[in-house]
Amino acid sequence: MVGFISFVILMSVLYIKLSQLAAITLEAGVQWHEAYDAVQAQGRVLVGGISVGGSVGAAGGWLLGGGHSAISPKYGLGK
Amino acid sequence: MTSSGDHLTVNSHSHPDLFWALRGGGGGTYGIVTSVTYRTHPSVALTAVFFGANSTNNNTFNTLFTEFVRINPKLSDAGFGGYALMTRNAMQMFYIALNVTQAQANMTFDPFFAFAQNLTSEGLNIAASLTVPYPSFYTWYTSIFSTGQQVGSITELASRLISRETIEHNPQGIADAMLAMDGAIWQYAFGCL
Repeated sequence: MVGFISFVILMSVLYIKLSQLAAITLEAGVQWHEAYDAVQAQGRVLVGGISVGGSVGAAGGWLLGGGHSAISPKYGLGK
Repeated sequence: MTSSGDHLTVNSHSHPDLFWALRGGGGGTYGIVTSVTYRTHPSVALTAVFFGANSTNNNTFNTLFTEFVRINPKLSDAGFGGYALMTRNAMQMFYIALNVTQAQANMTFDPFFAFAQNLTSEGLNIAASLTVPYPSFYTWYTSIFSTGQQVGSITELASRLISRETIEHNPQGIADAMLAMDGAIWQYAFGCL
């Protein structure tokens, strides 16, 4: 399933850096480890989920299920 | 992408009702999410806490687990969040707090660790009880989870949202209810609400 998604949907990670706001746009199919790699390269972190191997989609059910993260007490639910 | 074929940008300003609904209100029932934009934050150091214990003595484990439930709002106030897993006679937890030093984490968790230590004379086995500093969320995450395995298992899922007020007023009741579901594995995503 994961391999199918990765194959069909080309991963696209776009990093936007503005003066006050830094955000990352992830297309469906991007997995958490890919998202974390991308933001870490910019010295950033995002509110996200975890799994063994980081192989859960970062732009899918995690957010649609409410978006709880280990760092939600500091930064809130996924947004 | 909605069922009518419209490609919408959905956020707190544009289609806020749909945005609210998508974020936990019904997931895929409202349309297909083709991409998301997340806010990012500076990467900072953190301290992780690992704890694991088990007991074949039901009273002992109930006592430990009730205490764990009871202190969770305080842990959240101290900045900790994370995950825990429990069955009728065993639990594991791994929490983290950003911008919290190991010394601060020890101050927060030492009372619980001591509480558990006192229960060893009543049949509690402590498998892990430690705090570990990490330079970033990324190093914590990769050190624990980047083992390359695919996720996936056969599980029947159910979820419960338990309020802070309920935990504060009746931790024993929460613990009793969870432990009574013998055979169920509870996985917590804890914090913040």
